[in-house]
Amino acid sequence: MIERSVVHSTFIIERLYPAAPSKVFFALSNADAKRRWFTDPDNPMPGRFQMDFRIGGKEVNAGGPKDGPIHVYTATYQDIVPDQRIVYSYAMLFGETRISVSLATIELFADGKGTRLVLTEQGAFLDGHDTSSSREHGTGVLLDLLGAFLNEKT
Amino acid sequence: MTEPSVTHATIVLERIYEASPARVFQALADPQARARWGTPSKNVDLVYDKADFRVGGLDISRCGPRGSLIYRVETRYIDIEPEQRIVSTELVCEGWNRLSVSLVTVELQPVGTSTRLVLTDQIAAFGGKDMIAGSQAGFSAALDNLAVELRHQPVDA
Repeated sequence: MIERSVVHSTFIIERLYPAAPSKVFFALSNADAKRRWFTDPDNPMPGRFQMDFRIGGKEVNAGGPKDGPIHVYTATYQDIVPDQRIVYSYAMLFGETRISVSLATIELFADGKGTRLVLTEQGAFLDGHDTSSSREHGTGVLLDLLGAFLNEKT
Repeated sequence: MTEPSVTHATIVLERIYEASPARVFQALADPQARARWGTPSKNVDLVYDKADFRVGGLDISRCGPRGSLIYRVETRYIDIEPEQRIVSTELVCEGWNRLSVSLVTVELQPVGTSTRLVLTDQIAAFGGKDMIAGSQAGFSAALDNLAVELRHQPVDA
């Protein structure tokens, strides 16, 4: 039998955006908006993207290098408080292998005319395929892409 | 309107059971077994309205004091490695209120003829630390009941 291992960790990332919480929430919850900023900077070729933003709804985002295994992000929305909070669980698949399962909480706080976004990710990293610090870095990059998108619109 | 707040915590519980990993896994996988050992006490009932133990499957259960099963739990199975690991999410609601979401990892390791079970509950609790203490107490009591279940239920031939 394969030797199994799980590493559990939690990281917290904060960003300050020059847009009101309702605008940040829109970028996070509207499929057309999200499609525009939620991309893998190393592999900008859009793969499969589907999003059903409601409690119990699912989001799938697939992509990857031309001659490599497909990375698939599959999320389920667990809790939504409009303009304030989104809680979702997600798994990352690398080809056929599930490399991690995470629970993410996004909280939005009004900060002057802008928004402070706090993302807390509690992750279970399976069988040594990926690490929390690598995931934290990648997630920070995604939040920067969200910031660039919001900056364009403001 | 009160500001919603989220409290995060990681709870780790460990037990050693005098049973094989296959036997322990069977007790985790079977909803009928879970309905027996899954509650913290004999005064609390657990009923499965829906049970679907597979990757991508969803269980819906209700629990609470006998006659008042006010808590509704949605369990989604995300990763299952037979006899080794189960990773699931649990959303706990009371009426319209969502109380918490947990990412629950159960790992089974053979230790001689026994099994070490490690349960890690990464919880996001809405509205305060009480849910975290409650989740810890509930899981801990259920894991104690699992020991009793494993001693008393014969292995199916």
